[in-house]
Amino acid sequence: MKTNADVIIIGGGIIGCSTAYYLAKKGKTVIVLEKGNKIGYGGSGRNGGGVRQSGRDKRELPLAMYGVQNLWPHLSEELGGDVEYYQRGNLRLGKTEEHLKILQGLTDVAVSLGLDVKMISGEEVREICPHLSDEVIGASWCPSDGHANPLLSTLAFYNKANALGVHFLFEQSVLAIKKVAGRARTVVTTSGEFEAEKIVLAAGYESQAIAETVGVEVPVKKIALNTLITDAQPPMFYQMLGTAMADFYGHQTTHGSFIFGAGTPLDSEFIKSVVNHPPADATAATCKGILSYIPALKHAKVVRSWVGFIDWCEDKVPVIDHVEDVPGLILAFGFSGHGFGISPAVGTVLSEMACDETPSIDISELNYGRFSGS
Amino acid sequence: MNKCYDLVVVGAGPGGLTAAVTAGKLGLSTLVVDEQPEPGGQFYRSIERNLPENADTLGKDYLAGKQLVESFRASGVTYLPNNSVWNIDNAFNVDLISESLPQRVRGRQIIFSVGALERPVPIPNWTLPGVMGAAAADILFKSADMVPQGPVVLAGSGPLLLLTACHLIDNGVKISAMVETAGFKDYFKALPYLPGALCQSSYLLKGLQMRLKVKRAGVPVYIGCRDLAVLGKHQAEGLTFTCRGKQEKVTAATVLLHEGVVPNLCFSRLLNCEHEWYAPQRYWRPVLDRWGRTSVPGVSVAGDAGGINGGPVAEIAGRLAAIDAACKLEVFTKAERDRLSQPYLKKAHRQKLIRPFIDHVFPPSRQALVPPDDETLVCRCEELTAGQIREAIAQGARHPAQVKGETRAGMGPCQARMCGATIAEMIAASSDLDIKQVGSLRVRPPLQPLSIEQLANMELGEER
Amino acid sequence: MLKRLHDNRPELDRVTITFEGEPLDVPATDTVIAAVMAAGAGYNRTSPISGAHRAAYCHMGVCHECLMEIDGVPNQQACKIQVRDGMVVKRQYSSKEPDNE
Repeated sequence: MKTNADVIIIGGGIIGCSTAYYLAKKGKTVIVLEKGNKIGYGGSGRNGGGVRQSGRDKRELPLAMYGVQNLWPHLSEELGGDVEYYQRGNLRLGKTEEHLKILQGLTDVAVSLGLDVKMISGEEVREICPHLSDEVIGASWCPSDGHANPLLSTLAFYNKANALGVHFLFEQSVLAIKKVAGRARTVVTTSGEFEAEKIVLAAGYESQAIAETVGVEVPVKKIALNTLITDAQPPMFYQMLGTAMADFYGHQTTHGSFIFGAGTPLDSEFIKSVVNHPPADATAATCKGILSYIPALKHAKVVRSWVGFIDWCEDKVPVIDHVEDVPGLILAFGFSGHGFGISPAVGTVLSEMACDETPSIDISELNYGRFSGS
Repeated sequence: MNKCYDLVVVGAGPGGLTAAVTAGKLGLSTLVVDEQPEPGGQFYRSIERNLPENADTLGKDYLAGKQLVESFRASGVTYLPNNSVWNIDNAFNVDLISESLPQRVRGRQIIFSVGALERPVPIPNWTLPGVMGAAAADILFKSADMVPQGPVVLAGSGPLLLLTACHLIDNGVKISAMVETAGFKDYFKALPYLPGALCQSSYLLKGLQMRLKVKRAGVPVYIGCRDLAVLGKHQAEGLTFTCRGKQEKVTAATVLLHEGVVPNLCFSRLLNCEHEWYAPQRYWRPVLDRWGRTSVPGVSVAGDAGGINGGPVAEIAGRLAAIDAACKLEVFTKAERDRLSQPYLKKAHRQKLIRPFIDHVFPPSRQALVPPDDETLVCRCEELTAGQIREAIAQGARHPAQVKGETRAGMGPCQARMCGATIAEMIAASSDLDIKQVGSLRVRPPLQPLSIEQLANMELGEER
Repeated sequence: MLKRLHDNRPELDRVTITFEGEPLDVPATDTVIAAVMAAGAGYNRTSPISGAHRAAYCHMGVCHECLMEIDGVPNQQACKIQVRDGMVVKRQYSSKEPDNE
């Protein structure tokens, strides 16, 4: 078993896999340490698949826009695996004046950063997507947004990285990071120790405990979100849908089924008590929301529902940064439920950082220093 | 609703019915829920309304259920037919759906008596109209007074195949052949278990009588058959198979397939009960103690859902589970429970003695477990072939969830009930994993597909 | 296809349903799938993947092959639903055409 490389990546989710791929492309040797025994069964495979720029915090917008402009459109081709990417736009819906105010606010910020998003009226919404309820009075509309298949995207990055010689090691529970001569160099797992010049910590909600072993503290907590998927419907629309209050989001997949996720966080301790399934009430509430916006889906059958855990950062955007006190360590977690869409861009930037290059995308506001007192 | 019962019994078949009657007698507030409109499960399906003309064919064992159902009706327990359970959580909140009305109830103890299902038999063209499970034909006979269009070919293995053949003969349906996958090799392997079976000689005698009936009816019987395939383009037209090295072809309007029954594990898996592998019939079953207790406190299983033993054993198991539930609810002491249960435990033990023999004499055929032909559909809902599954395994999938994620097998409306076990067997066959290491697909709510509207109408439960 | 064993059963209540636009007089105790198959339906849906004809396999709620459109609502498990007077039953046709005729 290989125990040293140029870069060790902790976490085999889509952030880890995409970073591994971009690093391998640059000719670096990479070891990915994954806790589970297969790829794609954590948050990376369970999310709603949104590839959006609109509705994001402005601190993440450069990553989102870079990905949509430069990476997503040819990702399937580049990775040799179909990620089912659709770029048919994103409607973020509002039913009340209050909703529209929120959407306007988000739109204004995004427009100032160059995004092609604008506010549209209820009639215009129904022109784009006739299946939406008459109760919708307006929306933000971003034509360059879209969606993709989360599991297939993660597997595509993994397969290509694997083919390029990245070493993926499974059932490696990371216990600690150790400093050697003042630099983060060693990762200790349940099977042994691994060494590298650079260590990328991209283990989702497991990252915080690992970071603490070198005195790094990021205010991230583990929360649960419920998701559901319907049976196949005749092709209705391929825009990505969301709401002003972020109570649910979703889209129709290549297969025809609709995937919807709830935006309301659930207590992850509570989820454990209901056997790691979505509580019936959560699924019911999500369905109430869907029904009120898309009455045309009332007979669509929910075939599956599941819960995913996310790493929820206090200020709802990730930390992607070196750590001054721990040279060699690069943090990449706290994606707060919207990491999928920016994952190729994040992977690109992390590969640059791990090669000591200046990031080609502005991530200055996702710095570690913003958590006062650290 | 949110009403709380001492005991919630899921399933009104033999196990559920006796559990309810026993619980009622012991003074437990009891609710029985069942998705069918009438009590009886599959074993005693439609028992309250069969035609007197069909009584002889249906036979004594079936008709014995009449008295049980009458006791059930008179027992005073709350009975909710036409109610499907779609979710249960660790606090034993049970979510029901009926027509379009959802409701939630609670139980302090739960008994699952959700029975069994026919093992899927994935052979080439098994998805053609005109192909059914053998038990399906029997259900239609009991509940609708119908028979499949003849001529019929019965194919596979198991006592139910024989029983169905006899019902068809009694009902005047032409059988073009009985094509059995079990053969002399299997009979020989079963010999060591015969002594145990002799304690249940009446059962063996019934089997012999059924064989005689089939013979007298002039039905050609082939044993030790392999390479079964349904013939036909848009509709079943017959069956091909090899027997003793020779290729055979039988014409039929209906093909009845059967390779044994397997426990319905939806509920025990939903609640993360521990399961064990039962090798002779190649299925998983929940780990149970003699009272039917699972590894999850408060949850018991009675009947075939805990392992296939048939109706009479299910009835005993129902009584035991209810007695034990009463003990857990402190109606009486453990000593008293043990005293009450003694005769039932003895009876159950005796009745189970035949099982090893039956399970060895009718093993599931290799073809049904691991379809060799790449074109055979494994996932009926999403139309995925054995070849596509094998390709996913060749690319590294070692858990059914990986095969599912990469091929879509198991993502259809049947929620992997028809393909999940086949996928697991195929992984074991194509890799160095033992079947016990392969793992199963997660069972999550809803336990059957429910519409957005149905779920949206659900009344939210207690505040958390 | 299915056949009724005893056609004349005066003791049973009867209802009239419509199947594919044609009226069917059936015993009230029939399930929808049994009623249409005994009336010669042959198949009750076409596969959404290939358009192939499909018919009920297990008749006990497991296989989900018996899906039909009942009173305008699609994806109903016809083996679990009893006929009702005036019920409108249609095959569930997918948009896919089978590859070869």
